[in-house]
Amino acid sequence: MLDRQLLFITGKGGVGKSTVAASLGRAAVAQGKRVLLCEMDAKGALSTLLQTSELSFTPREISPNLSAMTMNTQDALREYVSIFLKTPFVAAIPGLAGIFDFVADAAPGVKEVLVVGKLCYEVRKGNYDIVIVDAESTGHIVAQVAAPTTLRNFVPLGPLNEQTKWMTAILEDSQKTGVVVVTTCQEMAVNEALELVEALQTKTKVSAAAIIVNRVPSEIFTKSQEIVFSQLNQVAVKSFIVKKTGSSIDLSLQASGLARARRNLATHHIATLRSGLAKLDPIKELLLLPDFSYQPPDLLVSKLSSELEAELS
Amino acid sequence: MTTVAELIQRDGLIIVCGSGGVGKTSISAALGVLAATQTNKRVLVLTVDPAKRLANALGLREFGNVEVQITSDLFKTSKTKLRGSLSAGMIDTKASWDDLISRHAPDEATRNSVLQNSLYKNLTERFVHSHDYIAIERLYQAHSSGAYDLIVVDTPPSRNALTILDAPKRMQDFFSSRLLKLLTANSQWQLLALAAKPFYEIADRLLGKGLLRDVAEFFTLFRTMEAGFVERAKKVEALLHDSKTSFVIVTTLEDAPLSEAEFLSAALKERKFSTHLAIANRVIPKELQGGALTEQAHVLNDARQNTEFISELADVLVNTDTSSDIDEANLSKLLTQTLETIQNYALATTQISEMQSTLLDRVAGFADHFAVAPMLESDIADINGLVTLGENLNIV
Repeated sequence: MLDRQLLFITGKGGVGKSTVAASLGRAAVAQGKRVLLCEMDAKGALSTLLQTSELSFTPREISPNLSAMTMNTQDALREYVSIFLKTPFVAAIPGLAGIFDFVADAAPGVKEVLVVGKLCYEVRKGNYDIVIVDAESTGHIVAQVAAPTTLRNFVPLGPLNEQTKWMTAILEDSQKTGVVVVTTCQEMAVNEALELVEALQTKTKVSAAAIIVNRVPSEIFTKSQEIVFSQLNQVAVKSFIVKKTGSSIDLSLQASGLARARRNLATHHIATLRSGLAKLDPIKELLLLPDFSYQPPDLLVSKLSSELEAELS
Repeated sequence: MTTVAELIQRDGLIIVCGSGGVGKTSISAALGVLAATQTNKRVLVLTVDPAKRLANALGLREFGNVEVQITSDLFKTSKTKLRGSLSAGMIDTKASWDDLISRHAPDEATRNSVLQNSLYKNLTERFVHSHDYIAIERLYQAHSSGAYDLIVVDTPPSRNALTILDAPKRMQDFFSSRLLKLLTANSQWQLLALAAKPFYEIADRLLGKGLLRDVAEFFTLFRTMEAGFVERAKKVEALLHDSKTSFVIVTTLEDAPLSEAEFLSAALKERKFSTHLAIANRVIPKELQGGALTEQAHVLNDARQNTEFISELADVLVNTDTSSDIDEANLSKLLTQTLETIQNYALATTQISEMQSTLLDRVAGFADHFAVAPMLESDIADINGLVTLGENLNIV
């Protein structure tokens, strides 16, 4: 996964995209790569996770070999115009960016092309070995990676159209670009992940690099322990324990029973995910990450990144 | 009366918001079910994108804008019965937009041109946070139909929870924006504002000739609907501020959803919306909070190290075993291990619940009242699950 040059990390809202993106970034640095992390919405989650000050459009090196930036359409437009149209003065026209934003919102693909264009540009410049994008949620990613193609169909001529060709060459090369779909072991998140992988295959030529299941609860009982656990829940056994120890262990059984049920539910949803993925071709890399909820953000990223390093090595 | 009972006693609207994945849809549905079983109200639950099993629990089969009345059949296996009536509906953004256009278009020709315009689809997907606007618009429509006493709406997942509150205002601002006027003035071939000229030149170079004109033409059409849209958006906005509208914030006791809920709560207060209730979802069940569980863990700790007890217990297990699946040879060892695992999870549960209880104080500050919903063993798959969740919320 980390051998690619451009990775989009996406998934349903709340599954931990930013955490996974930050952890992948750290894992890539640990592999000796120069990494650029890019946050797509200016929510600031990435800077909190990386424990750094607010990010800007210009990448900033926050630790050795790890740089980070935040995406901004207007800055992307300004950069695009000055680099590719070689007309830096336009950026100075008052209100231009606002008007452009407005039009770009209406015309399919324009905004996405600017954003994706900036990412591809960073890949092409080669200042980094890998660009990892903390992308928008599932609903937008297909439109984003397919934008150059969409735009080409919509605007058959013009310089922007020309520009989309080299972007497509990067995006549609599965050696270079991949989408990483993050999910949790919840029904809706799994459904969205499967729908997204299918949409990527049917609507785009961009490859899904991997599926990452985040917050997988650990196994509670081994198979033989399971049998003992169910025996312990029998009335006769319970009353024997009360007789011998002077105390019931009902609450402990309930607590571990709840954890066991949550684990089983997670296993069920992961099985749904696996069988869904099996129907889609080719089979994708599937990584399971343990549940580190209730961890402080800094520990979360370091724990997840070492987990990822181990998984990916 | 509990705060939740109070909430569902009122007529009006309940808007359920919070970050993605915290169980908004289940909570909304449970509140609706509770209202329809505890009161004789006509209740509607509106949802954006329900999980399949939850949709089935509500009797929703297919996607669409149709509201479905839930028959008492669904309550067959439930101890609780319907007193009022319960309906459920999904919000289909595209269909709702088409409805809006059809309603506000001045004539058939405009309507058809807009609906068939290639830019239209893009507009409905992206402009002015259309998902958020549509959710409120649908809420308004259901409310003004007079068919329901209480409507519970589950808000769409958005990048920023605020967008739903600002959606009606944005819709109004959009029509009055200078940019829209500038753009549409051009397509009517009026005299170009000199200041805009370089922009058009650049835009043509950037986007290709003609695209800008297409966009302008579309918005010129769109502007013919201005009066209707703006008037409607104003009414929708007024409804949000109505004293009959209550907001409910749902969160789990984890870092990211809590921060989102905190942000949302502050924004609601600042805008003077009535934030009636904050719900902490997936909380360790009450009986597992506190010292009793910890004491049991200590009992387990002693018991599993007591070889005499273990061998006696092993005998009991063998005698009560009917399946003969049990591994008799290693039973003592296995029993010790299993008891240790149970002990560990008892202690882990205590730790989580202690952590949760410190976070609960934060949730209590998010709204006038707060309630707690327990962590469940499985996803909600039928009406009984919703009844139980509702009853759990209803405990003081």
